[in-house]
Amino acid sequence: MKDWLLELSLPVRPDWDSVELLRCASVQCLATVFRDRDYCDVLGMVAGELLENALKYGDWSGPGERRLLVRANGDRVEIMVRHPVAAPPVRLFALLEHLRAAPSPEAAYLDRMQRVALDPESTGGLGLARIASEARCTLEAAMLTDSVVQVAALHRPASLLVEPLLTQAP
Amino acid sequence: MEPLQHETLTIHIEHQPGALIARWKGKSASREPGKVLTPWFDQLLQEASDRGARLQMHFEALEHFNSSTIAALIQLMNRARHEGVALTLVYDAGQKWQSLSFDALQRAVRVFDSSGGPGVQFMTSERR
Repeated sequence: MKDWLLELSLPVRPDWDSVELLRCASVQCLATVFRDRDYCDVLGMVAGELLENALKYGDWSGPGERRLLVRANGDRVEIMVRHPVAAPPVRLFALLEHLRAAPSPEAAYLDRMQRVALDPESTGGLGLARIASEARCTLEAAMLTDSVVQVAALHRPASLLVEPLLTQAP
Repeated sequence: MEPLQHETLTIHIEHQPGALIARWKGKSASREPGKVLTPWFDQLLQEASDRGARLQMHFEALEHFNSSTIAALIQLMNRARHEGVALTLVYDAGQKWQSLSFDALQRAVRVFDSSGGPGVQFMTSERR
């Protein structure tokens, strides 16, 4: 088990206004660990995009865990959203596979932007491609139960030479 | 032309000789920002075209935008090119999130922009 400097667990409501509240909360809490405020803002973007996808594509009428989890230490940042779904999100899994298969996160992001340029309705996947390219995160998704999916964005701060304010878990 | 006020986003308009300046402030994080932004952008482009003015959009005071807003900006860039309106996007290179997003848009424009029209330009300024 990793020694996390930050472990944040917040409930997610199916209410669009809550996305910004949770995004800002993530930024503020990450700023207690990382001195670089710009870095925290970028990670906040990650939380925001994952939450927006959860609200757009989740089944909020169903039972199941609804939670934003943010964990961080000097080696690793994990931002995860768990939410109910009516069925396994095969389109999401296919999209993540497509992103992984792209020559680079930048190429995948550019591809998504081009699709949007050609068809304004085809915005699906742009947020995930943004997370992978702008925030340099690895994306994973898995069913936690029959009706709850977890979408996770994983980042290694050392890859950007971002040092934590703390070096030991409190 | 009236400023745009939508949820936590405000865009003010200034008229200068040969230019329409649109200054974004707040956050653009609504669920479908394009539904509000796109018709407003169309009005702005029409006014710029009627006046023979270039359109300059300033994002330095914007705190955050979501990927749905990025999609709306992509459509704006397309429309500006189609309408023959010179468009400049000005952002704060000192804010990392802006630098990352606008760098990506700039790369996208290089791929899209083959029409030979006025094109989209990007400029940076630093507020901090």
